[in-house]
Amino acid sequence: MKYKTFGFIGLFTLLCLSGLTALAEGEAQSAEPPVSESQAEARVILMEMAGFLSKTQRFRVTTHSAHDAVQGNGRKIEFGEVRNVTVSRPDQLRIEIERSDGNRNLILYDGSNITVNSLTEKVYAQTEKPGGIDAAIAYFIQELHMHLPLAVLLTSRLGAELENRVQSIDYVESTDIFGVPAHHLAGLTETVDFQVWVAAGDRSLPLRVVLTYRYAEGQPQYRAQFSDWDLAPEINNAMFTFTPPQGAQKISFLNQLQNVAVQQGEAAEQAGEQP
Amino acid sequence: MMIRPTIIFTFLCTTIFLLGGIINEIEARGGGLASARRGGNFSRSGPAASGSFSSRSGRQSGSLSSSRQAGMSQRSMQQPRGQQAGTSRMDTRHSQSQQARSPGQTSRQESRSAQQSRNQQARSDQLQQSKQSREQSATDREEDRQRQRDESREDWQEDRQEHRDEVREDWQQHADDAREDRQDFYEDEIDDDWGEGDWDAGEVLVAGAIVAGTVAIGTALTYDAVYSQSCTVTELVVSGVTYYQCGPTWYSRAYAGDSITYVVVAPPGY
Repeated sequence: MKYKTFGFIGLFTLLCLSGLTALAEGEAQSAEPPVSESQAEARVILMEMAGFLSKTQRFRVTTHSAHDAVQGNGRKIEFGEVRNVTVSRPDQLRIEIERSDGNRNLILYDGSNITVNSLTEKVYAQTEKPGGIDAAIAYFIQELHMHLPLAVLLTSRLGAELENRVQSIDYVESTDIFGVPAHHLAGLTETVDFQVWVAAGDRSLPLRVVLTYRYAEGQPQYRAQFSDWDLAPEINNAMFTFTPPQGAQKISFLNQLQNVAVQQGEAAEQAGEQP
Repeated sequence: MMIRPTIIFTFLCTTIFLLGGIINEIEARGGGLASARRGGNFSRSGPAASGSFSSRSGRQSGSLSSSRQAGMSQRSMQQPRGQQAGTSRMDTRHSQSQQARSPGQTSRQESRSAQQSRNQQARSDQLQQSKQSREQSATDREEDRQRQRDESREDWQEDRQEHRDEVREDWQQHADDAREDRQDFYEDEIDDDWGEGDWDAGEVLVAGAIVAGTVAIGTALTYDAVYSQSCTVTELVVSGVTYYQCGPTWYSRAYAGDSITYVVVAPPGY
């Protein structure tokens, strides 16, 4: 009888301990926020879009974009531009730009040289950069300090970039945009809130992007709408090769000129010091 | 019947007045395309102009106020975060290495104090010994002096050798620290084309106003900053390069961001 009582107590203790262990495990698992079904779906749609676009060897698209420029007095002013983008992987890129103030620029990459040509001011700058579109874009922005909005969408590493940057993504709604059925997604990177509308169906292409720089003063936005997607454009090498227009003046990129200017300045100072 | 001309006259006056008002309003708004382009000196720049999925300005406590150019609309962008972080890290490391060197400096000071103390003691001994030596024979004095000189030289040589060793160790430590700093900086900031996921932020340092009278060579300025000065900007082509002169300052044009900037350069010929 005595042994029976001890047996019951032991069994009860064992059950309690196993119950507590299960509870603790459950709490540990709930420390990470659970990914909802719609969030998982949103991530799949985003990555499908990234995969589709980065594997498309040739495409042409028009973007109508606008961005907020927060002025010194805090006012937010919207500026816009239209870009016609032609991509021919791995090493040809052509971007025609018309800003809202009428300035027209052309960016070309032919696999060896990056050229920027201002048709309005009749000047151009050119620098050598072999290595393909991805390397040229990174160099263009990082080293030459030039703007290339939504540059990441043009690279073949779009999927890796989004994997690396997107901290969370939600499915907002199924909607129609410009008459095309689309998935409306909203996500976060470390510094930017973004929304993207991805075409539903086989062609997972971005139709609209809104970026909000949430930590920047005034929380400015960049908004772009994509239209006229052409995944089999007619292209030829001449489209990506630059021939200086008559009367066009060659200038430098800022970092190149700054380096030369500083060296010349030092030389001038030294010459001035000599009696 | 006399009322009709009066009505017509009143109507004509009112029409002219209203048209005048409309024309004045159009003129006040700037009128033509040319003035609309350079309208209100509004800046197109800012983090949103980059159209990037990341923003360097965002990670810095969310404020851009320090980068603003007072009174003008073109904004200076912040120094790339990586550079600031690198500088900060290097400053910290420099500080740490200074702190690490402090014990060395302290030991040198202690060494100097000990040497001074020893020298004082030696001088005191010398005086004492010379007092005693005066009482001794000339031969004894000579022997004592010789012994003193030998001891003093040995002490001095030992101290000097210690000092040299300490200095060498300090400089070795300093060189090691500097090498580590450089390695850390390159590993962190220039490891590949893609950085830490903000390679496409593309913010540019372009000044929208000349705050002081002189501007350092290499400074990038907007069109408005250059042409709003009191001088007359003149163009000069030297060896195929177009220069712009405003008073004693010379400029050349370059691409930055999405526009053309004016960069302060040395006068042509250098």
